Amino acid sequence: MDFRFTEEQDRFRQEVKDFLAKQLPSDWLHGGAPEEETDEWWEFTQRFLRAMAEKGWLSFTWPKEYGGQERPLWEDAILGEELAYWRAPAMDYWYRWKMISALLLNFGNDEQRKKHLPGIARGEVYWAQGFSEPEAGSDLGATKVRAVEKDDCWVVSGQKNWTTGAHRSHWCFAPVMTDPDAPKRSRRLSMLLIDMKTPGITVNRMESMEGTAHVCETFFDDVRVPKENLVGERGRGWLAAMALVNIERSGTGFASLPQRVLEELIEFVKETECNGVPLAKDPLIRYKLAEMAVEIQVCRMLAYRTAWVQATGQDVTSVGAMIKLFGSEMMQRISNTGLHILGLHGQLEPGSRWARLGGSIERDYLWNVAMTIAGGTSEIQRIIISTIGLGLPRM
Amino acid sequence: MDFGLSEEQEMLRKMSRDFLENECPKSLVREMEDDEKGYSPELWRKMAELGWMGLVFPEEYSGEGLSFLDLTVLIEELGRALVPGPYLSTVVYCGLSILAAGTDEQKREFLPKIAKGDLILSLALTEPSATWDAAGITVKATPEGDDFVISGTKLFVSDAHVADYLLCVTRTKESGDKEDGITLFLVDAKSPGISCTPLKTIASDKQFEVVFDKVRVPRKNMLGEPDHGWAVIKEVVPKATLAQCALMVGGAQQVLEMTVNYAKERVQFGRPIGSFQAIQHKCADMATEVDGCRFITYQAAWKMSEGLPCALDVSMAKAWVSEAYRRTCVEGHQIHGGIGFIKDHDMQLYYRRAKASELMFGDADYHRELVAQQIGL
Repeated sequence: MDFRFTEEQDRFRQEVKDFLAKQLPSDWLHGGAPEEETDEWWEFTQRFLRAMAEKGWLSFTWPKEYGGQERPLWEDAILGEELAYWRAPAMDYWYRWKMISALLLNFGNDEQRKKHLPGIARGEVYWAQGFSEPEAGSDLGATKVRAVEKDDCWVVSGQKNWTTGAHRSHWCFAPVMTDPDAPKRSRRLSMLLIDMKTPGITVNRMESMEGTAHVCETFFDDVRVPKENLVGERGRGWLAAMALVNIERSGTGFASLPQRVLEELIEFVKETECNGVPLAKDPLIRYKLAEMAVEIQVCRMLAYRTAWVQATGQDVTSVGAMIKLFGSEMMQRISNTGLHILGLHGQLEPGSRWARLGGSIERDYLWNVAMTIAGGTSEIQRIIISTIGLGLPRM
Repeated sequence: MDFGLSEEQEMLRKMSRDFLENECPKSLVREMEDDEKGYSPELWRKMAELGWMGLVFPEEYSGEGLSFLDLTVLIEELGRALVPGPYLSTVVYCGLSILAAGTDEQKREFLPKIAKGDLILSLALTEPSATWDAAGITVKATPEGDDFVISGTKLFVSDAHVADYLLCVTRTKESGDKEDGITLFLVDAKSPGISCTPLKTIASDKQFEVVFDKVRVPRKNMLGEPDHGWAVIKEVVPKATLAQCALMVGGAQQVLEMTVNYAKERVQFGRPIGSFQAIQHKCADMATEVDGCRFITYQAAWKMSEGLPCALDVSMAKAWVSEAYRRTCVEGHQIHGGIGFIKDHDMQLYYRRAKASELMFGDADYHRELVAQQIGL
């Protein structure tokens, strides 16, 4: 065992920190960030992503053949940790980047890689994820969006849900139903790359309860997708989708963003007095923040363990489910505890004159409701851990 | 980073697990709960022959020269098998104290005998005040000629009845700073004036009230500097705390495995209960708890092994593992249903010991306060 980062990894982390300090306004965390999903925010986000691309960080783990640097996966984990800690913009986009590049590298053909990877590496082409549907949430196998072979195309019809960022995306990757009569349910889906400019696509933004509107639903009405946009084998889309959700779940940010929240709360309780005594002296506050620190440490270990499992080429399915389960549920507990430590001020939105810590905890408290749902619900994670991890019989 | 055990550690784990499965069956664990001594001298001797008593002592003291991390691997297995006896008292609480603070002569006298399994020691630290800080030490040692005379009552002293020596933490000076004026003595357990009364505990382990009534101990049996003995306690208590964590990790792992196996076998409504999501979800939570316990403990033990500052890591580990092990046991019981509540079943052995470990060297609340102090509050 060795719980140390190498000197090279420490140097890389410092480089990321320096980059973020340069790219983000000094008051980024407390009022300096543009309101999410405004045009100003999107401009900033695009600039930020291109700066990341200039560093090579959107493609540095890829094979050299496709413009990557074949850097170790640990650097990707460190990058993810720092981006989350600083609440960097475009985290959502970054995750989808990781998924689409993994899809192309592991399942795509050479032509598809050469066509799509450069735009991803440059931070210029944005991708949406078309997995869920109104009747296929946790049950991805129930996908109904249909793709029918016609001439040189797949004709796609139906509705995808939770296609976050689709309104700004150039492309979408989506498992669709190509073989409804295949005897095995898992062999009915195929993965398609869909150009969002194709006629017949309608994107509808939905405002979520924390106030942004980047969660989308996407409608396909006889959308013609060239046959060469099928990724991997026909009928193997479910397999590819499962590999991608493992990536989605195995984040290091689950511990680092809460660490940031903890540090901010510690500063807050030291500076804030109640009846002439700093809140930091209140035994209940001390208890709550210490508990938070302990939980974050457990989460950090589970996150690093996941990164280690990935970096050493072991199966990440069960441990990825574990960090996702623990991390997302912990984030909910932390934003709830944090909000209460701020007291009445905790309810104030970002931008309010009296908001504490930039109102970020109010925003977290609302957003984190989605954390235990998106990327596979906590219930699905528990089933994965118990069946794949522990070998309990399936239903 | 590397979350895997080394090849040697894997061997140690496998070897100790196999050994304990044969030599420490649950029948022995149960027998020892009622046994006056509370341990099997035969098993103790075999453990010594395997080199376990001197695992982390340097070779010059007949030890194996392994690391604290290696010791953690072994203690996890002891916790899994619920090995009864004075191992932690002798090797970790007292042995590591002597290694840290003993004179050359003391090390030469005590450590090889411990390593060979010939000597049992017990740490007499806590008192009726039941606190873990220096203010709790009131048992007095007064100099008289070449000796010190110890008087007072120690409580919750593990394995005192079988110890050859008691490592007694005494107050030798009254001072505003409670950590000042504490002196440690290795007291021959046969000295006149010592009386041990067993306590009936939740884990049926062997804890005692030890009364020192004008017990004479030669000055040469002092461990560490006079009046500065608390430094030794501060050095060894984090190790003792981590040892408890490792014990709990082993227990938790075993409870998880027992429970998952039971869920696969137990049939209700015509199918194994492990196929019901209500049960699967509990098992998934248990597995997550156990992995959390394991890595938060091993990370702290690794830091300890590397000589890095680890007070915060130790307290975070004890705060977490104490409660997570209990939660794991509670879920395990729930899945086992009525049968796990019966004394003939092994579940209760773990559930009762989980509570004892939770309290030992500070419970979660105690360590959360230490965490608070160290994160800037």
